[in-house]
Amino acid sequence: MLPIFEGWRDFTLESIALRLLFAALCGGLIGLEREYKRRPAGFRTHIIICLGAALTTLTSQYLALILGYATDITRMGAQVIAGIGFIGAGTIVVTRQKTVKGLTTAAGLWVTAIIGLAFGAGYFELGIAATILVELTELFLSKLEFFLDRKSPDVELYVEYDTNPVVEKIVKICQAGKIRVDNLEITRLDREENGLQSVLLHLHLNRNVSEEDLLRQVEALEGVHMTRIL
Amino acid sequence: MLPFFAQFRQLTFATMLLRMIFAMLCGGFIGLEREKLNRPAGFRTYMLTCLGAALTMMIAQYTVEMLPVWKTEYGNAQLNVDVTRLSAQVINGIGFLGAGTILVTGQQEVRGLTTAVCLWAAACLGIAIGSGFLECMLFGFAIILLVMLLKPLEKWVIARSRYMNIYVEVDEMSDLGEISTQLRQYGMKVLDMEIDQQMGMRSKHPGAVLHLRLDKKTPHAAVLYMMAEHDYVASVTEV
Repeated sequence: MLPIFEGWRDFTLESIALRLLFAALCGGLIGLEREYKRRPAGFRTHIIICLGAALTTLTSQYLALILGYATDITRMGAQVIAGIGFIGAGTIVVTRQKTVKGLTTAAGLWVTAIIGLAFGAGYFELGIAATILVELTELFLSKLEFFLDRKSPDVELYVEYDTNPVVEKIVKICQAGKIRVDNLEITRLDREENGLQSVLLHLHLNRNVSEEDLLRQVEALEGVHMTRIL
Repeated sequence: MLPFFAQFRQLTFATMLLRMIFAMLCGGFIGLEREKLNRPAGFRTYMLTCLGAALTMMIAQYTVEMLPVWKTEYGNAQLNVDVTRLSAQVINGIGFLGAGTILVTGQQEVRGLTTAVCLWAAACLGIAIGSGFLECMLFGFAIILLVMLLKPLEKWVIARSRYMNIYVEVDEMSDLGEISTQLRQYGMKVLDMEIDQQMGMRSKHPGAVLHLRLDKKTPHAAVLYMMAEHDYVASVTEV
């Protein structure tokens, strides 16, 4: 507990204003970075979530401290944790290539709500420190994640093709390069028209064949419409 | 705490009506701002959400006040209640309701998220009003309205962002590969590419959403011009 925040923790008019302002500020800071990266949840969304969460902890403190109800002071805040989980769930998408998107957005919203809870409760140190850490994570660790992803030998190869026995040929290419096929998933894309199918192969690459080589070989196959490393 | 508001803290018939009216006003104002933008949840939606949230809080307060009466009249000494239980579920419930307003378009755009969040915040404000926490109502309402007015700042950040999402439609699926190599030659990074899920429903052209990281000086419009120059590009927009 830092002594500078001591006076701010009392339940006074100034403290209430300050808690809400801090919630809006820190939510906005996190939101700005997300907005800049053009993610679905942006600046105002984060501010309002942080502010709303702060309102709930403030109200429960008011009920207990000013109105004198014998109540569980954390009950309302607890529901924020569940409620924002639901809202976050709405932003998660499963794409056609069976990848999941929007998970970081959902997690970011959720942690912003919890920072709001901290400010509403008057725990300024926690809120400020958490905001700084979240910002650092978004700014620097996203690059690290990208880098690690690129270095990983486990890749997912997505191929769309029509009826030709393309999958067999791809597996042969992999065998020739001693690439291990961990798993493959075939999906029929549309039944009526040209019988387009897609296959998702989980591969474990080695030094013999580079990603580019593999892509070039698969693209050269007859009947292949498009290929991508996910 | 403002001493002026002390007279409103007791739950009486007058304060009950006052809180209801305040809740509807606050919710309504937030809704008006959203209504202007032609969003799915409008004026009345926010009003009702905010009012409902305030009602739960007052029902709980009423229950607590009736508790000693019920205890003596019905002789049940174990009778117990927590004043926050009802309103706590509102926070969860409106989160659920909000999740229903979110939808993902074929262009991988998430829509309705701000609506969901504003609705949820209106409910939180309603709870504060229902408990007679009028100081909180004033500050919370002021900040929410202020945030609504910050849309220009949001636009400013978007226009200067080095990240950009574009939606392109091309003649052949294989052209998409061509596009990403082109973009790389211009010095842009294609961070992510998403093939349109509803291909063939809106138009015959295959489409994709590309998440780009631009080099320092390229303005967003220039990227669109560059794309449009190619014959195989049927349409291109920023999303």
